Amino acid sequence: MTDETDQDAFTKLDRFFEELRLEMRANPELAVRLVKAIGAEVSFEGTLAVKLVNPRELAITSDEAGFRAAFAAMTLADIKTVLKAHNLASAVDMKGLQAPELIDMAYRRAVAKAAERNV
Amino acid sequence: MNTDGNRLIMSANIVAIANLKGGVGKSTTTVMLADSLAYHFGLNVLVVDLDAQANSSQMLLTEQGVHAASEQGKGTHHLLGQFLEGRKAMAGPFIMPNAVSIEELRAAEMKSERLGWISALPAHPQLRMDELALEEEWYSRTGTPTTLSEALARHFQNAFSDLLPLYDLILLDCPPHLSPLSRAGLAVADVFVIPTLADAVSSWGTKQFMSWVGENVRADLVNRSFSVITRFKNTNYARQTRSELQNVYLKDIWFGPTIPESVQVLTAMDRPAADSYDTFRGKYGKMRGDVRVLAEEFVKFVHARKWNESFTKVRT
Repeated sequence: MTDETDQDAFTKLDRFFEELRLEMRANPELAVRLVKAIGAEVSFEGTLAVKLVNPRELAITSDEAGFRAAFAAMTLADIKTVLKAHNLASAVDMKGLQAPELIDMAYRRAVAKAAERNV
Repeated sequence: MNTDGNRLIMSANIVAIANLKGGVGKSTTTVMLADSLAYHFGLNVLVVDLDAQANSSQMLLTEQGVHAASEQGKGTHHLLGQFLEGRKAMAGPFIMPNAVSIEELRAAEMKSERLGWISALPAHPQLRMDELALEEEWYSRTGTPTTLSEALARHFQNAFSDLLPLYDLILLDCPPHLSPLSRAGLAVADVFVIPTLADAVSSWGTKQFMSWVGENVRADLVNRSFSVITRFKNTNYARQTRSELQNVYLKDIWFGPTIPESVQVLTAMDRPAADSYDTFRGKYGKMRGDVRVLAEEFVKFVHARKWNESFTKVRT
């Protein structure tokens, strides 16, 4: 009887984690929040990076090389999207700049903003 | 400039943005007014930050800019130091001449076609420590809070008198309590912009402000006040509270537009960097109409109530 109950509990837990895994795959924002909640470091690639990277947070948790690597794989349009979404640059600021110049700006401003807010 | 008994009166366009309660949007209203008056009416505006929290200074210059300004000898704490050391009152040397973040203003300046500008006499967190040191020094010589605030008001009056021909408006962002600095700022102001929220505690704070300033600073405060309800959440409760404020408790005060709660405003107040510029449309986004109306209503108020002066629109 006890074995059967344990078996039943494990089955239910398997089902629970399977649902969680499926939801995390479908909802990367949730996945990032959960992974951060258990204290793990998160890195991003491709389109997911554009959606989820927080430059100010990255400026604190990563070194400069790591910061630049996170942006290096992005297109010019994606870099602009990230900078605008995180209020690190206006359209006026970014006009005519190429990716390396934008990444320089992103790093400089993210470090400064993070320093303003960090206790 | 003249005096009326012991009360100081300045004949120029000095506006105190004030409320005894904190968190009602004083600094945000100060910056929105400065931006919109400079942009839409082409005014030359000086923002004087008397609040040691330095929020309007950070919004205009960024935090790094505030520290850089202090290192360059700029800021209201230097004005206080001047008073403490008994030196001649002069505010000019402590002003950051460029606190503009609006691209159209910068672009016009680059073409030597200045049409609207913002300068700042910024605050620095050091201001609070200097004010405390001043209070200790003053009270040790049997002075009182009232004599200190009166002496400071005279110092401000003298310091600002040289600036009056240079600016169309001087906006004083006052701290949310009755410190000597705050009282001095209120004493030299011609008119008052009173931001408030549509909730009970903010109504109490506004009532206390009207009562105290009306009795101690301006007997005709009601005629000189322009109130703005900020961060408005469109709920039944907020609508009822706003209606009571506008139609009952503060019915004789000129109300500007109600500014909705908005992430766009929060973003607009977080300048990306001291060398960052944005168009007025880009900075305020969907809120730009509200910010424009804020300036338009304020100009109507000024024209009707005080200066018999009419500012003309230069941009739409």
